[in-house]
Amino acid sequence: MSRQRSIETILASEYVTIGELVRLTGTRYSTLKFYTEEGFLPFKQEEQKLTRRYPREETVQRIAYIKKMREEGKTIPEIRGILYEQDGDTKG
Amino acid sequence: MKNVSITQQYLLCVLNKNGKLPAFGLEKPLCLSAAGVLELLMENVFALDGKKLTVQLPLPEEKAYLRPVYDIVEKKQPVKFEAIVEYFSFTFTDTHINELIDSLGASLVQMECVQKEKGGFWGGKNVYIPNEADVDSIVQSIRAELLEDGELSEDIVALTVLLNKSGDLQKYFSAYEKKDLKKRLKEIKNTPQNEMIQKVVEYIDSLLCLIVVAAT
Repeated sequence: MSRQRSIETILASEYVTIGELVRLTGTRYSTLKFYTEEGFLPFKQEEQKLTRRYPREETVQRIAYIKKMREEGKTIPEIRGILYEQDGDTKG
Repeated sequence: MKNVSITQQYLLCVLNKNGKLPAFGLEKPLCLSAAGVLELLMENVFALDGKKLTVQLPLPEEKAYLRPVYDIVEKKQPVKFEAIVEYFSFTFTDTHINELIDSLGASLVQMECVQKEKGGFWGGKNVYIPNEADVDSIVQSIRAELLEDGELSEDIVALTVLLNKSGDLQKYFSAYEKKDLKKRLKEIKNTPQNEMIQKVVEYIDSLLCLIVVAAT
């Protein structure tokens, strides 16, 4: 079993857990869980039942972007559409 | 984004809105002092050989808030874990536990996690009003580990079992989530790597039994 990582170590890591995203972004766990289930936050998971790992920089930026859109008054379906379009463009 | 240790986190989670521990009940002082011992065990500052605690390393500067715990173990070593926890919680006055709370409180003031004020019956006691956002951040971290698949960190396991022991854990989970929480707590109990934390829980249990026996 490992110890909880310090903020300094987390900030130097390529991948982070959802708990570490809570600490990094100050976003509630249930919100991050919802964003993950909606497919807004891509993650790596070696096997089912193992810890999900999120690319730190990209995910922190993505959460800030979603927050900004929420503050602008965009609804979740609108945000979903915007993100899918962008992700589609990136992948395409 | 603050590095708050398990003892500091435990205190933040159990302080009431007036910045105090509840006046009645020994569970919280008992678990708070156990958290201090556990934190120094996890940092290898203390060693637990059988049932006795000894000092292995000097107290790191960044753990200065645990000075009251460190000093008493250093003075009495080798000393039973229960004796240390009793020292902070089973006394006629609350001098020892207040000394620990003041030490932790000062570190939390520096980190801007609490606001220090004067309170108590005569207004002569220090109270530490917890910052709600910081408490919520701790609760969210616990939820993020306990309600997710995958490995739990040692710190979250320790904090979880202590909060559970003092009856403060359940309030952070909805009725719907309690089934998952129960499963996780069972898993923690049955994981051999949690042996040291389990030992601490057993010590706390035996002390709580003593209180019940003494009261009847």
